[in-house]
Amino acid sequence: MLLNNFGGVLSFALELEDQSRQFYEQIGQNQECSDLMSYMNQFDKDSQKNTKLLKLTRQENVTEMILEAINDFTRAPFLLNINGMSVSDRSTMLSIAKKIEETCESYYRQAAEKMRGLPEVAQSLKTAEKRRTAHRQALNEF
Amino acid sequence: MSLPVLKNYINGEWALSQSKDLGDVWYPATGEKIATVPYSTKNELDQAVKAAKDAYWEWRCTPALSRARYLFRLKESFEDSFEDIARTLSREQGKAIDESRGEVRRMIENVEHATGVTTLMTGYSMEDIAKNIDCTAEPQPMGVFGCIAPYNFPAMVPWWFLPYAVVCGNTYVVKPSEQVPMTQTRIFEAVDEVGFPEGVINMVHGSRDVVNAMLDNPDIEGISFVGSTPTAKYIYQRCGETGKRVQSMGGAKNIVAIMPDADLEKAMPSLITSFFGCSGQRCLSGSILMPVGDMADKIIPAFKAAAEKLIIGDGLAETTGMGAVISQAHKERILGYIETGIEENADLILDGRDCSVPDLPNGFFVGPTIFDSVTPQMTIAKEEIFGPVVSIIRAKDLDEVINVINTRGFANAACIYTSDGPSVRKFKYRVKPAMIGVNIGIAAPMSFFPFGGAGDSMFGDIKGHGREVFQFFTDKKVVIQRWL
Repeated sequence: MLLNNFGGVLSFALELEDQSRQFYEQIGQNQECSDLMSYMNQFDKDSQKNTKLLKLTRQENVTEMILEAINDFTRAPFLLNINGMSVSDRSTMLSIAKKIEETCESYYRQAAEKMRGLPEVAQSLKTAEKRRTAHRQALNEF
Repeated sequence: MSLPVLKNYINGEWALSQSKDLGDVWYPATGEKIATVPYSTKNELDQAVKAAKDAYWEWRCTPALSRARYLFRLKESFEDSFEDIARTLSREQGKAIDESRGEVRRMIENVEHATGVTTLMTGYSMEDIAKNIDCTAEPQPMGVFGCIAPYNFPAMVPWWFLPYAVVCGNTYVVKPSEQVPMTQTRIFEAVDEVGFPEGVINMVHGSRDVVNAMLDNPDIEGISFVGSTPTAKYIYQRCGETGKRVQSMGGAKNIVAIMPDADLEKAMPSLITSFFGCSGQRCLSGSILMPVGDMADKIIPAFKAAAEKLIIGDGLAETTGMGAVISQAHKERILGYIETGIEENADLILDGRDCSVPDLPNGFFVGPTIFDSVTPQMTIAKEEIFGPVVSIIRAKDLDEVINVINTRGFANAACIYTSDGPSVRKFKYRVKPAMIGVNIGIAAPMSFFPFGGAGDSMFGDIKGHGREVFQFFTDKKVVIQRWL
């Protein structure tokens, strides 16, 4: 599916945030992962911040003048495919979490590049990317 | 399942119309009916005006900053409802969701701009206009104002006027387009949450009878209208007869010139948006493309290729680049113009007549359509089509472009793509239209600049929003004082 316009790019980002937050809730409830609890809480807070920022960006940075098509950008490489996934094994959970963070980080980086003509939008995407980078680095310690 | 029947908003309450005359509201992408709108009666319009008149004096005496605070709260209410308003808009109007978001943004920007009332509504004064005599010019609100809105921008257009009128101390009545009444209804739900004093802001659904009742009502001081040129002219004349202030904006036939030195690659996305955004149903849409000199042979194949790539579909889908047109009747009207272009021997290089969208067989879709070898005398070059139909008129030089622009009755907007400063200066200096785009395909002034055309595209003196609109909604009382 194409990500061919401003709203599409930001709406997909919101989907990623929503999906990853749901997955981290699962980890948070898993007894085997109690040592990850503080990380999960932080990830959840960061994701809420990202969601708020991206929603505001979608609302405040759109005008007719900038409704120009985006080329060569699709959802496929960034699909998390974790909806409804139930995992109880700690190492699998960690490896999925790392994959989520890498995917989101990569998505935000590429989306910011696609939006470079809209500096405020690109800035929001970079901010979201920065939070995801921090998550990935934290997870790499496990 | 019965369809929802929309209500009027009068004196701070939702009220079902007593009218038996009802209209259908459509979902243009699917061709389904989604609501029923009442064609309210003259009596109901008069009730709304009376409520506005009764509310006027107390509202007028409310300090300007207090009035502005209602608008701050209104902005927050709109932000909270933002996505829902945008989705309602795309559903009933057909436009792509990003365009709806852009429109709601523009609506809110007018509320934001109007909060500057304490600096924008001020008058002026001078001491000693004669010995020991001082003079002040004090802008005062006038009473009840009203807006008659079009179908192409159902959220934004009433808010080009309403926040300014209200923040100046006037009260207001909106009549949304009967083709797209759900958006303004959703907006008024957000208005209702703010808790304006009863009667300050009112909405009455309806059609021609409500329009005429507004024009006839002696308690309405002024009307703001946006729509087609024949109706704009009618509104202007009727307001003249009944002594109302009026700002009446009509149709357009905008020309976009592409000079030989234009950066085609950078220009193309905005050109596509200009001609095909909102399915061409914008008073700022490009309608005539005028490549100059040898630019024609470069731009026409590229423009056609880019138009062919547009994704047509339900405006609610995030991937949609161009949605449906407003109605089956309007679709047929556009198709009629395409037939006329063929009959007049224009060269149809992209034919949008048989546009089909998977899973949406009953939608009111017209695909991007491009005519080459159009002459200025052809019907498709003269009349407002209001659809995704582009006429290409090849020009030998900039003088020819300017001549074609200045021989149209419509004079809303004109755009030029070039990297040459003197060409820009000549263009903006000489063309008649009042909104000019330079390397911009949609010359849309933001809320803090005036919006409106010239010639047959605008009747009246003061345009929409900008600083000037505060003059439309106030009258200057001049006080000459001497203390004996």
